[in-house]
Amino acid sequence: MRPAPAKTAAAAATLLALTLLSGVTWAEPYFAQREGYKCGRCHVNRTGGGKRTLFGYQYSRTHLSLYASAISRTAGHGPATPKHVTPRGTMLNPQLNDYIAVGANLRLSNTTRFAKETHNGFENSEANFYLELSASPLLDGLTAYADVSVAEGTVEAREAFALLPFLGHFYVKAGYFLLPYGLRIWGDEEYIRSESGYNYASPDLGIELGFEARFVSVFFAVSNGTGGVDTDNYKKISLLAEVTPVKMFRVGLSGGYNESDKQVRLLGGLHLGLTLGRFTFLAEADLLTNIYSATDATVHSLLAYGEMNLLVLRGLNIKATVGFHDPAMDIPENHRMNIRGAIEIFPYPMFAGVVSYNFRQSVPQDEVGNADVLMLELHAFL
Amino acid sequence: MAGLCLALLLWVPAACGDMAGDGSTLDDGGRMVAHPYAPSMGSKYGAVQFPATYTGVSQVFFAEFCAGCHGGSSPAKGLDLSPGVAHDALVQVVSAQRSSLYLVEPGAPSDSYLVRKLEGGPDLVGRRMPRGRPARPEEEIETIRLWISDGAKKN
Repeated sequence: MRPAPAKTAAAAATLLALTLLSGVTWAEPYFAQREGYKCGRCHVNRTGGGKRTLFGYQYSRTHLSLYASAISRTAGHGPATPKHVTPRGTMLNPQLNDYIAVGANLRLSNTTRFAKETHNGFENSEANFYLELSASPLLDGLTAYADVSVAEGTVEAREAFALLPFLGHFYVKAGYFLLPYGLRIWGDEEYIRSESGYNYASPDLGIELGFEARFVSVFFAVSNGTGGVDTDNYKKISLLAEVTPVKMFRVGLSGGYNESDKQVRLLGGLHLGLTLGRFTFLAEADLLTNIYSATDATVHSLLAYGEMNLLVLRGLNIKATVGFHDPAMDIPENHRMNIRGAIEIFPYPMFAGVVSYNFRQSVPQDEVGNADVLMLELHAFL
Repeated sequence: MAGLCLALLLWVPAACGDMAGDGSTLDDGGRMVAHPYAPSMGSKYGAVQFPATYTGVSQVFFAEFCAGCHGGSSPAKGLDLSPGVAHDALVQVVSAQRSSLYLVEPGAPSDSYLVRKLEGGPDLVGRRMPRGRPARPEEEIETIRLWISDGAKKN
């Protein structure tokens, strides 16, 4: 059941090869860290993910791709302007007019899972379309937003909310949305996402209050805590506070509280971001406490994640990540680990290709958790 | 700098030695004996054997493949499939995604939305379950069908 030495060596060699050959982009928060931006600079949802703002769209067009890089060098000046990255004609402007903007994220991947038997298949991990309506004549800045997934031939809402800024730095959001907590990296399979319960599969109905000043961001949400309609009288509390004293560094604290008849769930976390030249680092550690009413038992879990990004050149990024999960800190020999190496290439604006190898180690009873994963992904976005 | 970072990256796995536990503190299904309500760590690719009873379906199948998300204090979509409460959440409960169907209709597995969510199909709303994981083998779904055909009793 335990991985053979040859398998371990092959995985390590692959990781080394991937790391040495080139770069990555799996989780998008490193863009924000690299540039010293807040999530809301590039995303309509102030806590990140989903539709890009017009700034985010322009940034994607002019600062991410190899093509933009080549144009910039040819032109002999700084970052390419949008006109430089328009090969011919005009690219679709997602800001259709003053009131309506659209967007999309489409990801198609070919995944090979190395279990007892090797499984290979195509997966449509994301096919989301976004609609943003704004500029109400009565409430300046009011935005209505919808994020609908049609992945794998099914239709379901990921987010649907209204957002209203007020008093300059504040906003209130109401509806169905992703709750604020920690680093909103793309990979929900990472333990800090899957085990924390704060991931792309767990939006909730509620209200969020946000405050964003130059160096500080604070988000506070109250939601049903059930991922949909309320099934009890309890509410879920989520908090994310982040400080960015200088462009190259950020530190944040997160908290979550959710209670039901059967269980109380407490979550606290610390995350960091650091940029050193071409390197961008992100890290998060969370302590999860579950108190089970039936037995009055308390179980403490530890979740941790770290990632390193090397910007080889514009449009080419190398990423390496490490994830750790101890489901019960009082029980030995039940921890697991997840190491990933990836190369992400943006050949043209709004298009990316990713090659990654995920080296997974878990307890023998967890066959899925022990299956390494090789993935090739194409990502188009608007 | 780059070399240092790469060396650090490659050193971490090596330094961790056995990067995962040996599972000796868990039972064969990956459940923590000391914490019976905690989610199971079991997740087999092959078919899992369990009796066609509510106890078998809930304590083996739901516990291993469903309760990780549909459990705890904030079950996904408000559907709690934790052992002990899954029966009340499923049997003759109208599906939120297909209001013309019960999640489990006793005696009618093909009309039970739970089965459709596991088997997939053109009339599905939302994604096939278990989400983000390989579809479960036919043998397991057949066992669930048998339990439903037998009246979906709380046995």
